[in-house]
Amino acid sequence: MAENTANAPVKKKKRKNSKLADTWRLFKKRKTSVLGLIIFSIILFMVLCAPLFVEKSKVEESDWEYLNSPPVAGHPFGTDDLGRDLFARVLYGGRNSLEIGLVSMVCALFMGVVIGSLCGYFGGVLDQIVMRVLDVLKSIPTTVLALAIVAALGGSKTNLILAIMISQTPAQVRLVRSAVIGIAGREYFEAARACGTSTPRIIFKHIVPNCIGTVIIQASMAMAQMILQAASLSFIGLGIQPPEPEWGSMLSGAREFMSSAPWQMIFPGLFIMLSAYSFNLIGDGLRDALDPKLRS
Amino acid sequence: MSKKDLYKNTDGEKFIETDKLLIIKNLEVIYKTDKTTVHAVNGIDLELGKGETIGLVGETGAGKTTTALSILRLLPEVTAHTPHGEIYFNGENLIQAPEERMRDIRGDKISMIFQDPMTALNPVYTVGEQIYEALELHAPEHKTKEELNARVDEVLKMVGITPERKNEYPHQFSGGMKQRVVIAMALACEPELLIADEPTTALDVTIQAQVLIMMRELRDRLGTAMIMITHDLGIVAQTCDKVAVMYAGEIIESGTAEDIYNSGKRHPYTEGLFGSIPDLTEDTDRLKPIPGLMPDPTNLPKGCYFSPRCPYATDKCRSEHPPVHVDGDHKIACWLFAEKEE
Amino acid sequence: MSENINPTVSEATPLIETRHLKKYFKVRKGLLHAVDDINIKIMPGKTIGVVGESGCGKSTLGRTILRLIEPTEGEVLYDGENIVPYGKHEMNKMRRNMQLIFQDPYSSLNPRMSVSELIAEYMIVNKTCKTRAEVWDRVDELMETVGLAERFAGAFPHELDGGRRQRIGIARALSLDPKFIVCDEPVSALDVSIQAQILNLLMDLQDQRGLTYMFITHDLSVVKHISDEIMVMYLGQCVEIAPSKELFKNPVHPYTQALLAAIPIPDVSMRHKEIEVIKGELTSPINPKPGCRFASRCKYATPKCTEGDLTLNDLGNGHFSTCVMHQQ
Repeated sequence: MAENTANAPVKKKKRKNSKLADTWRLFKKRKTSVLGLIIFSIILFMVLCAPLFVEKSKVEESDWEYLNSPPVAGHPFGTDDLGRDLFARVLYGGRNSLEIGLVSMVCALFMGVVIGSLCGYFGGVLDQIVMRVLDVLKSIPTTVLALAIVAALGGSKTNLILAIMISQTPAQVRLVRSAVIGIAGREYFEAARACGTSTPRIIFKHIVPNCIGTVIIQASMAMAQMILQAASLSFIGLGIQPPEPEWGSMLSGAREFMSSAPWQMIFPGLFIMLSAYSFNLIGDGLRDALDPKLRS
Repeated sequence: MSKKDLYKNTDGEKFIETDKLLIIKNLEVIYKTDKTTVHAVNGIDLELGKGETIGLVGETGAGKTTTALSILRLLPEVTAHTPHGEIYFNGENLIQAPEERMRDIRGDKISMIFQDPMTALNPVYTVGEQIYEALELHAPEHKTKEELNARVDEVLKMVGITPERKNEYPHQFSGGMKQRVVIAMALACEPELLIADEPTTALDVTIQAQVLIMMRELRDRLGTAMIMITHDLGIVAQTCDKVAVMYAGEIIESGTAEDIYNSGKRHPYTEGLFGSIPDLTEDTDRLKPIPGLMPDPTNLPKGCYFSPRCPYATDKCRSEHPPVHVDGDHKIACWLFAEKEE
Repeated sequence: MSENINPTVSEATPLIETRHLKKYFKVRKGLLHAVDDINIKIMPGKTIGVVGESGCGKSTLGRTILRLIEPTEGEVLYDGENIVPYGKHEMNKMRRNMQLIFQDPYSSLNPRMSVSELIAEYMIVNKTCKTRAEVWDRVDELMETVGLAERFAGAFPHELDGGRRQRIGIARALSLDPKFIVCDEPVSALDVSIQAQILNLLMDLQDQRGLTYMFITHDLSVVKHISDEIMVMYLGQCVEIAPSKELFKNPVHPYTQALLAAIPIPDVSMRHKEIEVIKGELTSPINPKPGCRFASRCKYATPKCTEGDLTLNDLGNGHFSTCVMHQQ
């Protein structure tokens, strides 16, 4: 027995060959996706490590000597009409924007996997009811739905996340559900039942790992949409409340000065565009890398 | 270099004088992907006279289908290359033929039947429409609509389907009936050569017997030459005049059916194939399988490709590629027979 | 051998027995009789071959015996005990004794699990081992038993060929030490030389472990070696059942004769012999008429064939057939 335990770590290693390396190899083949990953990493680094570049206090501090100033030394992105440093506002505002995007994506994904796999696995009446409710939700344009939710609950970060999550959930549920139904027809599913595997184990061991690829791809694509949605809700004043910075609301505030001080729009707009774009590129790469047909 | 250039080579002449229907010389096909090079066909020679039937026997990955597809030049253009080889059809080198010429040949002079009848038919057209289209493309002698429609009926009758069913869709037919329709389409233009790639593997035994008998009758009546690709030695025995056994992209043995089945002289691999099939007339308790697996086509062994699995393999087999031992029509690529000569 | 099948003289308890087992599926056009009144007995350590063409209900029969499909009517007896009324919990326990080997070694293995995880899964689910180390030891042992090299332990199914994948399926089925295994066309997706390897492996395992098999196939030549007795099915019904050698020597039912005649024989001297082929194709088993379902394709058919219900007629030597020609 002692010998077995001693061998255990060595044995454990060979129990599963890594798929990660293979995925990375295929992901790397698509240069644009690597570019997307690099762009997003830079944005994420700048936003998370914002204190390295600029102090937090600068976000709300007005520099009265520089009102509506174009980019100068000390204010690399220029300033807004109240003399606030745009560089600091873009970096710290990004924390809000990306947080809303990422958190709502993870929540929508979680809801999608749970509801979708339950519906796909059990089918029947439960499936019918859930699907019809989601159909109703889906028939309302996502932005209008999010708008209604924020309008009803009031504009705060949590409500914004909730709104975006709810508006994105139906698409995720449908996707997971159809993937589960596809898998449920496979023989390995029957093999699992033949030895008396419990339902949760079937779902988490046999179903979720086999549809997670599709889900990740879909989610990385939807992520771009969610960042844009967060920005557009803030743009119409229903998201993060001023003076707290957020890319969408910054864009909105800069509208009046579009012709006189275009940099006020350009920088937050550029960051929104780049992060959405980079996520789309990453999604494309993941689709190729996780497609089993391109493997082996 | 464009894709087309990779697909061709300049071996041999554009035309040669011959009375053979098909001559394949030293054909080599490789599939290149980002990581690996698969040696699918490694220098095969094959000859087929008019009206003859040859059985191409081998297991999955032996290169049977690749050979067939390269005759029709239907190999996937992105990955497949033919670095060597000549394929003469009626004396015309198909490897060098322009694509427009190939389009005339496919379906008209050479037809192919695939393994799976379910995917070979278009589900949104009726069976009659699909045969009509094949005829319209390739049969200039039947010009008018009435003539073509009459020919559709005739073709369906030929494969034992009542013409009334021509207005039905493929999903209304059973598997055996679908394969009959596919055969009807392939034979509608009375091609000189029919390539049948495992035509009955997807069918039940009783239906397989029906389809095989029908194919045999039609071949004899129309005088079509046939390449029958199969892994079933029984089917070959019942339908083919000549046999070529493929292993790892090579023809390791060829000859008349009698040579292979009755002469008592066989390549060890052919011997192994015969040992693997359960004999219905004899009482044996255990089968004699060939040990091991097919070699990896990306990394073929040195010497004879069969040597790692061969019970008679010597050091010579493992280091040098075997010469071809010729005895009349019977050719065996094996050191066992080469040494006897010396 | 004969007393094992003859219902009146059996002394020992068969490991598996079905009594009037029926499975009907409701379809739009009526009732599909997939399994219709099947009575078989399989003695411990023996193999029954179930032969028939696609759609004859042979796979449904195998799955109904394992209760992966609930029977419509009838009993399934395991070691003399009817398992049909068993609840979910009892059945899960029972499943350890009864396993299934699948036809398709491609879709029956979860592509996201490695070879050793696949083999370990059944043991982990059924908690047959106390520690993980014990599970992995068992996995290594099973891999050796079925002839899978140790280096494949971490590989994924898509990296392996069909023969090796089928070996995983066999190792997995053996992992719970079952007594009875339903082999559902385990070699029909494999190449001939690999088929023979797998068939030999299955026979060796039977010798070593005293396993009892139900071997389902469409290919009569495959079951010849492995089976002690063979049952021929046509549209949900058993038309002939006999000891293996007897069936090949003396097939009495016209359908069995047709099946045997249809196998292409690898002998060139037979090529010019006219083989007799049955006409037509399988009709559908939806709302079947009474009597012999093969009658519409049978050249010996008489009006008597479609009158009344079928009975298995005892022809001696453990040979039974439903054909009315042999009725005494």
